[in-house]
Amino acid sequence: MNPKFYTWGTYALLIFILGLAFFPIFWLVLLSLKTQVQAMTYPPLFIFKPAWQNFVRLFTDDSFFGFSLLNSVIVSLGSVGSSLLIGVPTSYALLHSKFRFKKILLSWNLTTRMVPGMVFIIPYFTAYQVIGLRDSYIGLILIYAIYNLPLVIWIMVPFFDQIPRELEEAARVDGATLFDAFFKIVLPVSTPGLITATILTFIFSWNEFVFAVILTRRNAITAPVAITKYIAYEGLEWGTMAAGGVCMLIPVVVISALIRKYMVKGLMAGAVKG
Amino acid sequence: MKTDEKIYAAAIAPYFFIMLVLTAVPVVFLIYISFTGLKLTNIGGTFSLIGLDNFIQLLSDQRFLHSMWVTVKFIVIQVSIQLVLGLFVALLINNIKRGATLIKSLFVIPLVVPPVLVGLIFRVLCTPQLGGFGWVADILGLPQIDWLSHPGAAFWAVIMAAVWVWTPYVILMYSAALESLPKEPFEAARIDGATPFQTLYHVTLPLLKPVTYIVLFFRILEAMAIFPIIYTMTSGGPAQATEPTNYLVFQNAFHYYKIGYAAAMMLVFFGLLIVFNLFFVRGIIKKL
Repeated sequence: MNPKFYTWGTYALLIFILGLAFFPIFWLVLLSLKTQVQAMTYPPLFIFKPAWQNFVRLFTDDSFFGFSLLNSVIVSLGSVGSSLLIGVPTSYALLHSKFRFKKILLSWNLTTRMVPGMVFIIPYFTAYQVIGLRDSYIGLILIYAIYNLPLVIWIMVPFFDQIPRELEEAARVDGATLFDAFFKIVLPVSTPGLITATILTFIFSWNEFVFAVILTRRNAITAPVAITKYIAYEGLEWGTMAAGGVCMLIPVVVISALIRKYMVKGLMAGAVKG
Repeated sequence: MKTDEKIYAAAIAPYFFIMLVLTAVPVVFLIYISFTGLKLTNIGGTFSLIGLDNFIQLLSDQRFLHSMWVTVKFIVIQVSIQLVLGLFVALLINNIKRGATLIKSLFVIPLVVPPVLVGLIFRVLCTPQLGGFGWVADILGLPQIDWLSHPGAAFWAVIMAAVWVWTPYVILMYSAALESLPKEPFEAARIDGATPFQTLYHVTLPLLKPVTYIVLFFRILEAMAIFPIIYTMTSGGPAQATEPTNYLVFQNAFHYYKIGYAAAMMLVFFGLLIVFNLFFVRGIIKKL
């Protein structure tokens, strides 16, 4: 076979498959700009007057979806912050300490993330009902920590491991304390790891559905849950629902696009989607 | 350096206790709940133990057994397709010189779409009134299928969604693996005059065994936890055709309010999951 044909054929095939991958998203974006009438037109419209009011309606009608987006932001940022705060120092400590149970902790880490959410949801829901944490930010952030904390550790330990000990030791010899060495030398060098950890925990918390749908109601309802309400009520307003979907999708896609390098590596660190 | 250890311990301790409270305690609680007849309407009242009743009931629960079968079907079909497709695309990417990084980062997108949204999008695509797959079928001259109203079709619709989401994961894993393979075996094969297919079968695939096991492991585990796609697309229907055990547990706990029973079901399912884990991991370790 002619090598040139091989190459062009491969590219063509890849572009076709990429097209398949993007088709559903493309369809969503199209739908988000259609009115109910336009949506139901057949053959489907590809060129039409965009119905921007779909997006406006999300935030004005009863601003229900806008509120849920805000909740998603709060819960996601809270999760990221708390997970990093606890997870990063722990990763470093776990790596360098001679703690006897190090291995057990690390494998406990790994196994927690492999457990289906339903295992936790039942006891958490029951407990939350009793102690009143249902439908709260803290409640969500706590249960998200089950996945986020191990995720941070899973990412940061290898990163910290790659830092040559000589770097830290040189600083210590010069009289720096452990904390100095950590904050002034180790952390700056591990920025890629920190970025990866931040992104992945954010995406997990933002996209999470199972825990949110069961544990939230009105006060802490997040975007993924809110969007399903558009199917239940609203008589299936497809356009508005799709607009909500696009709003939910934008932060995640933008972040992924900006930090492309880290995404591929991070996702392969065995990150499991919620 | 002794003080170092103390500082480390101080850093690890909070984590240890947090994980204990957040993960170990709930699991113990779950076990306890599974021995009670707890109902959603009864929380706050006494949790009275009813012994093994829940578990005995499970054995004869047709819907439960059916859901286990659905789970197995889902996993086997979905993962097989993802592996084959993923490997194929990874091989394609491996063959091109420029643009590989771009293509790989583009394939990340389906992986980061919120699962709810995946379900919603595919639901829209499967709804005849909104075009989507129906329109594509029309163009290609294929028959129209009312995906979500027929048990068989609905099952495949969910498989489609799952394949769309997770094949990129397989692509990325295989792609990374292919890039790190040693060149010598391929050189040797080329010198021996092997055809591409022979190279694939005798050189590439065996070298990819470790990655395949890893991918299989994570894919199977994750497939057992499938939820949002089903919630938004089919709610387990029609006629429980798309109701895996994971979803049935949810139904029992939060639609039928039988939390005790749901806990028992989840425990059994989880137990089987662990058994699978152990066998799988042990089998891999032997082969490596």
